[in-house]
Amino acid sequence: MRDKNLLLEKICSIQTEYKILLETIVDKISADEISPSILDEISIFWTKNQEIVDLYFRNISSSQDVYVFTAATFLDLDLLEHYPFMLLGDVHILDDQVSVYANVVANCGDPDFLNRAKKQIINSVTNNIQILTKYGNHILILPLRSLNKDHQKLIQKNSTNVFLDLFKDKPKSLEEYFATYKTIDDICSGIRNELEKSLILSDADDPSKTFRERLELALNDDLLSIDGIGPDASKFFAAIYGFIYQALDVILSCATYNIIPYLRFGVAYHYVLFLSQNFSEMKEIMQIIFKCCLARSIYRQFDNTHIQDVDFEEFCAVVKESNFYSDLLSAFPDQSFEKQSAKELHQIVEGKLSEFYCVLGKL
Amino acid sequence: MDHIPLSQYIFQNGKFSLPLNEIFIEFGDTKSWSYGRLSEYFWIALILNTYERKEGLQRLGVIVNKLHEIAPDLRLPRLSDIFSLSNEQQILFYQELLKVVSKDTLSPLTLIYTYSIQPIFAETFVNVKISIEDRIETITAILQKATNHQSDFSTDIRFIVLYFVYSSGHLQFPEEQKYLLDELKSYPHLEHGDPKMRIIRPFIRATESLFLEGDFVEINEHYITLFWEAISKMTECDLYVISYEDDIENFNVYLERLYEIYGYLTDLFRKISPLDNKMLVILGIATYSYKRLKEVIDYKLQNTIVGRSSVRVLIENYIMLQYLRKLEATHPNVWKEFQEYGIGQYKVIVTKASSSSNIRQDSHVPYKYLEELINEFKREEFIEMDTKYFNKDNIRKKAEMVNEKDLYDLYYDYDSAFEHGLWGAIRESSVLKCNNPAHRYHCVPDLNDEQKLKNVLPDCVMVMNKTVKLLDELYGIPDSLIKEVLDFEG
Repeated sequence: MRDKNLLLEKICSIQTEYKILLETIVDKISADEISPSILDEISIFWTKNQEIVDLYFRNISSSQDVYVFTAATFLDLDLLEHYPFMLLGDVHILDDQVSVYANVVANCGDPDFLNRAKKQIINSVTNNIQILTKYGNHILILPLRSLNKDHQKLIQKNSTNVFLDLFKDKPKSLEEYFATYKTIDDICSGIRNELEKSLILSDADDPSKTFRERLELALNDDLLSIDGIGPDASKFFAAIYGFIYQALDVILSCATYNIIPYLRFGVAYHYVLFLSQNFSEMKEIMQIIFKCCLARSIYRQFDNTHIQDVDFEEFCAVVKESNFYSDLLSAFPDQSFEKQSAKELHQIVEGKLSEFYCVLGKL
Repeated sequence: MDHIPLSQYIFQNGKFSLPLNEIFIEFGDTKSWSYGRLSEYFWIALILNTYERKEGLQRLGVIVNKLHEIAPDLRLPRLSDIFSLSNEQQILFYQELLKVVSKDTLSPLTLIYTYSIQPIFAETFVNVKISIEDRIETITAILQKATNHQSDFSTDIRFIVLYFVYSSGHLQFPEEQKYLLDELKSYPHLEHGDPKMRIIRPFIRATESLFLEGDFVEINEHYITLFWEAISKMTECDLYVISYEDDIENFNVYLERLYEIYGYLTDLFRKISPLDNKMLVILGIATYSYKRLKEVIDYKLQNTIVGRSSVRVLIENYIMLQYLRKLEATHPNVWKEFQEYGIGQYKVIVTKASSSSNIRQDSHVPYKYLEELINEFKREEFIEMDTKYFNKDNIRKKAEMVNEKDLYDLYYDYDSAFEHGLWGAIRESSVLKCNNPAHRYHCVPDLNDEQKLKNVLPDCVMVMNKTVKLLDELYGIPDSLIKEVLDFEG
């Protein structure tokens, strides 16, 4: 009988150290001022612990299902987002968004990025502290996407390739794209017709509109209306490339460690699904994507009214005792899209959630 | 370097020690240059690293004077002391620093002294555009240059420390040593190769090392630990492997020639003396050596731990052969006794196994077959069990008796360390040195079998040829067969 798990103990002590660090800096940051040295310290903290986190990721997922809440600014505790997250798998990780911001500040060429991202950074820091304080026994905060710096070049290269592939006459390089495409007309006439529906352009995208209408709305988005970002083609690149990069980053990071992404952000989910078609021959990745769809379905359908008065610890105990997750998985013996339509998947999840609400109601 | 003969060591409490070691009292780690002081003066090292030596020393001269002005009570220019200054003093000093050196010069230290640890320092010197990897690289490069406390670079750092203490008035020279002061003043203008440096450099080092003695200052252990913990966590092991590349093709030829000799001797036995028990024992031992050598060559084990085990067996077999021959004069039955001793060992094993309930069917020990071997030799119940070593003389004593002490001292003892898993052998074969100064040259297990060992085949051949010569003495081996084997050069 093993009476010690050195690696898990170390991960727990890293969580404590991280909490102390965040508590130290939270008073020093405000919407007016965030010193780059603070974000630098976050990067340094994870660099110091990079090998241990990597070791942990490599060793947890072989016998357990690990879910990571990723591609989102923060896990919204006020909206009780942490409850449905716990319905899935054995280990729950929040991909540290603060370290993602720290990486972007250090690597992006835009000196104004830090100013624009201040509010989100503060949200992420306070959210992290809250999770580590209240829910540290159930949710770990670790950097997944920003962990492996070698991935970044690979993702950049492939994201560029995917982006250029969206056009009928595929530009040879980004330079050629920027030289050839300038206006919204250039993009509308250049984009491959069969992809118009597949490209989601923003969170508020309305698929019933034409591609041009959607594009016009997206390009007028506040985030892309920054001085200096240039012509429409540059804005289009800034929007789409970011989504592609994020999705490839999620797929590659999760595939590396056999971790399942829990995606709240609809656009990120869409692009992960869209780009995962490239890996349809890889069984392991497709299993991850299947479970990612399950997670998304849980997120979409979970009804918060059932948990308004339920204590989180109690909720976790019920999840465990009711074997919700293994029961859910047993409804999908093949764990594949070939034998299960999205609609069927959705219906099965709905049924399982109804059963779970009944168990919860007996509390 | 000449080695100190073993006779000059003092043997006490089971270990050899040099008489000199008893005189020196080791500095505590935190007082040592590479671990304790270098971390404190790392900011000086960074400035010297960024600017050329002369320019760096000049700039540091200005900085030292400013530091005295801002913090007149400071006794040493240790970074831990600078961090202990008031916020106002720190801000003032860093502003003065930035007038003399670029912000990027000290930026690598923001890896260690981050915002939550030293907010003023981090805010002043951080530059996120210098990647974490680049900052680590700078620190590691400096550690490589400065770890040796006598290097030119280290001496320059130590000169600045000495200059700081001198200019604060805490270092006084006795009248008869005043000349040293002039020498010291010329240090920044002299090249390290200048003959005058032969006096100045050791003087700087000797004096600087004394500043941590007595109650001049207190050691800031927390600071030192923080420094090393931070950089060791952020750098990867740089493992140092000694490689041995050997062409063993010639040894295959040697083995073929050896096979012919053994074939000839086996023919002699089978055709001339098939019932000669002495010859059976001698050829049996020699053939066991041959098979061990053949395994090394066939499976390319010459650079492995197993290879060392083979050398050890070859030596032990050869010494045993010589020993049995010597004993024969007084123990005519020695060959039979040797067999009985060995089979007696098997009997002990089989007896223990028969009374055990933990015998695994897939174990490599074939207990049933061993029983057959015991019965083959003599009816089992008549075999006397003797668990003591054959005839009670250990291998070292046997080696002395047959005038082969060197085989024992120079090879057998070394190979035994591998056979018994002693630390020397473990360190040499299974643990790699990390060449990263940030890790303080620790060792890590060689899991991927990168470290090969020096080729055992030349020694195998040396011992095997002694065995062949002995067989030649006893049975005569045709020149056409033996010459090529004895003349073999790997």
